[in-house]
Amino acid sequence: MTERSHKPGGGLAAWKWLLLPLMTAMTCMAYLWAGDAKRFGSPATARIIFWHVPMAILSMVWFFAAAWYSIRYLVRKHAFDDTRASLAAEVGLLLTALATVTGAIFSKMQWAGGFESPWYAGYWQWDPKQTAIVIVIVIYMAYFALRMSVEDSRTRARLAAVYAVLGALSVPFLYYTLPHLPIFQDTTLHPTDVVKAGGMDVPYRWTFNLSTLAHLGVSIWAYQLKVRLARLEQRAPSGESWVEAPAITAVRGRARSNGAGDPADEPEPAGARRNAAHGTEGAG
Amino acid sequence: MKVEIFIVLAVSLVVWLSLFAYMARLDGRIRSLEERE
Repeated sequence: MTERSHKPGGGLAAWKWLLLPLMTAMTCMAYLWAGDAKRFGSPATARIIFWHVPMAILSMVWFFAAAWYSIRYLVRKHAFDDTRASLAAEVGLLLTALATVTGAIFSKMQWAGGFESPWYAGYWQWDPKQTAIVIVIVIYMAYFALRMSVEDSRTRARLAAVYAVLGALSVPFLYYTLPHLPIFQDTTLHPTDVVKAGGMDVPYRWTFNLSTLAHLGVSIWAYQLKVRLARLEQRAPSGESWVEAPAITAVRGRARSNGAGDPADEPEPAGARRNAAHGTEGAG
Repeated sequence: MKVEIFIVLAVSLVVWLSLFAYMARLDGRIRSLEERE
């Protein structure tokens, strides 16, 4: 989903407008229809499940998307596939961070007595899934550290692509397999039967599914904005950001008309290194 | 139903609507840059 899905000269695409009532309806359903969750320690605050779980699931989806674009890069060697992979990993990492934060709030409310415990206590229990999500965050922060540490764009793209594929393979293991291992069954605090079939009543199931769909739509929109921005940056004159280009062009024009040297002979502007982080230094 | 639920609902809606407005504005600005090319 790239610039094809926006209307030139028009407003927002229809599917983006649809997200407004979708997410609004989901929010209203979560608070007004779904009711308190009977099987949870703190029934009222269990509603955070409508944000926490979809974000965790979608973070894995975006890490898979990053792996997909990485494989496409390794096969086709198109630089923009590498950019897409990087941007998908960014969206995935953002969702993972949000899932971690909402999970920490969930932890305090469900497992630490909520407001009965001190304000600073209860957010982290070293539950296997909590530990696993931290490991996923570290894996993908290392992905971006790898990208920033390699100067050559082709080498960076190749290394990052392989890393992204391996990272995506580890995510399902960390999110699902590890916390369900028999050795953790006595220590895990996460319930194992809520998201499965029969684990939620009708209002919860409908609200949960709608929430997953709405969050997917919002994350796709965010990703598309990033891709369009990256494409604009790629088209700007090398070393210049799309914001500065018109001003720089004007400065160059005035310098030439004053008989000064060509500003193109000046040292490469700092914008080039920022573009390098997303592999947008032209094709190839 | 408890008053707190409505307060949290209102805050959630404000946060979501603000996010939507921000993304829509950003979308429009990017679109105008794309059309300039």
